[in-house]
Amino acid sequence: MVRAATVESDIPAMTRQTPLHDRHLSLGARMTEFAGWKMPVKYSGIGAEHAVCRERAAVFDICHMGEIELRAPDVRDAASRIVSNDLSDVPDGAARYGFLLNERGGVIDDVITFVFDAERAMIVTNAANTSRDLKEIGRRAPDGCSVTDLSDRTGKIDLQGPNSRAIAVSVLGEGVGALGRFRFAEVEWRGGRVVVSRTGYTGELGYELFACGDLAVGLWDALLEAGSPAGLVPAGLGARDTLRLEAALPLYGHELDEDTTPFEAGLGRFVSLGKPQDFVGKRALEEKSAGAPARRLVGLGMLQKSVPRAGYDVVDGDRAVGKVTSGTMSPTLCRGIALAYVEAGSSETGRRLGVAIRGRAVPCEVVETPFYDGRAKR
Amino acid sequence: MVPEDCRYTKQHEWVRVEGGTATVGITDHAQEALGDIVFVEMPEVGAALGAGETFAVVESVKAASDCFMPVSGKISAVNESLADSPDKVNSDPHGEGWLVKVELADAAEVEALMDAPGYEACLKEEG
Repeated sequence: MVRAATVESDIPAMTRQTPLHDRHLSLGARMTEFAGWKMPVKYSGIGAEHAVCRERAAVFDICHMGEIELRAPDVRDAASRIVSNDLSDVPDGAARYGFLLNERGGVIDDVITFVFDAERAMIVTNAANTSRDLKEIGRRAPDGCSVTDLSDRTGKIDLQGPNSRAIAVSVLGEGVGALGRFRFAEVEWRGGRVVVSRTGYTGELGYELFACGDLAVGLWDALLEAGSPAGLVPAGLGARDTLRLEAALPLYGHELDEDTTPFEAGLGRFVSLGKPQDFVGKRALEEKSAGAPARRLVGLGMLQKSVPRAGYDVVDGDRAVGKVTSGTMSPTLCRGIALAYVEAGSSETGRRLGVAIRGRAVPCEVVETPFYDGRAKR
Repeated sequence: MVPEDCRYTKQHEWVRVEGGTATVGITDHAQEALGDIVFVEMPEVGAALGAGETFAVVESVKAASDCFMPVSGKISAVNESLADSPDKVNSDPHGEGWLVKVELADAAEVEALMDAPGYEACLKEEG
């Protein structure tokens, strides 16, 4: 048996801590190092936290992600020169998922851009990519557009699950209850401001809450207290990953990287090639958009109880046709699920393939995604 | 104190002998370190394995971990109930979470393993 766990003492001393660090220790979280941050992997257990998120609600410390503010006389235009989206008709208080691309049309990061009003926007970045994104955004921002890194002073807490709306309303007020998907509002709370966005990474009804340092701690405490009768639990990165994978949401570094285009990932709808603004990657993607990509991201459902994992080969008969990018035993479906890049010719829904697990090709089939749709149950 | 009727390996397997049959599993320390166990890949019943060989793979959410034979012998049974309830390895690692039963090739091999106090001491060293 190989010693699997990272213990607190294994985390390098220079690793950063979120404002909620002491809360995690008090709750008995197992901590790990992720993207240079000490983060909670689990509290009561990954499976338990996953189930409670799907059945009731969970809160996640996501303070490690980055927040980069843009200010410009026409910030929609400025941002449209930076990310893949055409933000021109995005209403005030709406957010869009898209990409920061490189010259080859590969993904530097997947981001969400929040448009506050004509002059102010915020790009939310993955923790591991924030510094790089900041440099690129700074380079690409047009004259007159200021770029400010708010990451160090901005905390983020994700509140997700069927009971999340009621809990959010009880803490933050009626206004947040009316938010539609990918809409957000900035609300006053305890003398400060909280940005409440109806977005998330679990496939459930839920919210991302942005607040600065001290306020974020108070918010965490208030949510746990108000949410306790509704069954709210804290959940860590372990459950975050199994939840997003069941929802077939991509994870940077797995489904997306600099050598992968949004088209291969099936996310071409988040790239506007028709917008008037030029952007890095536009030319490369115009060329690539002519034909269908040679490889496609698909969902795989294992046909025998087994656990597919990132890096495992995917085979069609005796030919290697791809690789798993993320895999797990789905807690909700009780079956192995995976996302994988597969040669286009072997990628149609229903196709029987194999995943090489410890030298054996374990049967699987290409399935439609998401594997589980949390919102469909309401 | 870990169960006194078992012997232990440095790799955190336990073995309990009743008559000529040994029952093998992983210790509480191991299940705690692994986290939620989601699947156990079992050997074929009838497989003949030497001490130190991999007999099973325990899959937790984050990783797959090999389990090593504490003794040599033939696999005479595997815990079928773990197919539907792999979590028993977490909740009852010395009882309902047993992994395999082994027909011992050489009973003396068991004596060479750490006893309960020895394993406890080993855990303290590991820290």
